[in-house]
Amino acid sequence: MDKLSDELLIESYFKAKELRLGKEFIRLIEQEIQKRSLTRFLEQV
Amino acid sequence: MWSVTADALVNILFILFPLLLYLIFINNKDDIENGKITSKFFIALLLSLILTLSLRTTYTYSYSNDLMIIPVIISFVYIGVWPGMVMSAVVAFDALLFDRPEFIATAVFYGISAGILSWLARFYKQYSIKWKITALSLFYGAVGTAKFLYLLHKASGKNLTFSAFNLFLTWVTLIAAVFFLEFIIKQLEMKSEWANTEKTNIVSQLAASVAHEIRNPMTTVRGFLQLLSNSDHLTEKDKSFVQLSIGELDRAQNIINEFLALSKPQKRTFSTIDLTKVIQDAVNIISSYATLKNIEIVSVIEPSLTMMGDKYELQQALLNIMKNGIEAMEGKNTLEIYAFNKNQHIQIVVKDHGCGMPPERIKQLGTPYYSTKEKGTGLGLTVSFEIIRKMHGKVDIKSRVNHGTTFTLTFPRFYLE
Repeated sequence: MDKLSDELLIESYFKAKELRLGKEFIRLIEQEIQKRSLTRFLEQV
Repeated sequence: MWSVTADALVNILFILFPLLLYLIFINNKDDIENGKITSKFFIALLLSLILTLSLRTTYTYSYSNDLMIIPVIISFVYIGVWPGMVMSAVVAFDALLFDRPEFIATAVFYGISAGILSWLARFYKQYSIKWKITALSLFYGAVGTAKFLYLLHKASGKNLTFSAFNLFLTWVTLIAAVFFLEFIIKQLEMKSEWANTEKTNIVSQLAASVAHEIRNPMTTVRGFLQLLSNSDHLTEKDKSFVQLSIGELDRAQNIINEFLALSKPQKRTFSTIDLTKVIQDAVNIISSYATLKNIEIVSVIEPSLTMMGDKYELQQALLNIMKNGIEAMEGKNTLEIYAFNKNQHIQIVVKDHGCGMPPERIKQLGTPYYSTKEKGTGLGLTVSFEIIRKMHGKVDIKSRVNHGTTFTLTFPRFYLE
């Protein structure tokens, strides 16, 4: 997942939540987001 | 007096020494089971017999020395009926050559002994040491008494107390030899079980860590495939490709999950299981599947069967084996299930009348990923066998092509740590 741009990563996160994809997958995205210190973007919704 | 005692001791040495040599060179328990070491054991016993016989012919107290019966007895009960017969024949032959006057008596004694021992040999291996010693002592008691009475009758002028002493000595040597053999066999069993456990542990730890590592990338792939399939720019054909990929991923994930279940570390938290109920519940669970496949289940389960283990896992293993049996049959057929106490063990028999397997296939059973089905992971029996092994059980499989297969599970009723 480190190949994704920050934008795409965040977008995937919201899309995954919207489509209600598996929580394991969402957790993996969250971990990557945290790793890149982008968590502040998650509070947008 | 002393020289005679010394000779008796040398004689005993002749009996025990080949046994000792042979037992020192055995390293593997599996080798006991197959013909390789058995034939070496037989040679060792034969050697011991010949040495004993040759010693006898140089002395005059011929048939009061009875140590030669020990290799014969051991051949019958520890190797098999035919080796035993060969040994008896050797004794008789030796009597024919070197002890003509007593040939008839020897032949009769050994003939009858061979008969009794053949019968005994059939179930000897299943019993405890105590039983084995008792049975052999009774046998030798009978033979010894018969011999003694025969000597009495002949009044051959030889010292009868001395003969009685010899008979007693023979009995002691016999018991010593049996104890010794049993001890070594037990050690070998423990050693091989320990080696197996070690190997399993290392492999499963490695494999489990690999499986865990794989999970994350697969979850990622699946997630993004789902995101992809949601795109507005895909044709229906493209979407179906994505769906197919997701499906295959799920299948891979199933395999990993089953595999991880297999490699879970052994929990030593066994409890007493009401086995009768466990099997009956399993039969109930599988009955609807059976009816669906037009298979009738016939079960005879002894009441109040108990053993130590994990109820849930054991039921899983049973269900798996039953399911295999049902799937092996086409059309209207029957699956037989029996469970009963047998000596110190419990036996569970699952018998189908389906397509059966040739011997090469039987050997493959339980190998990971081995399957003749198109669906499924190929791990079902692997897991089941592992469960059974954990509960100190054994699996025996007999099968005839086009006739069916019988699984026999044997568990100890009591297991002391």
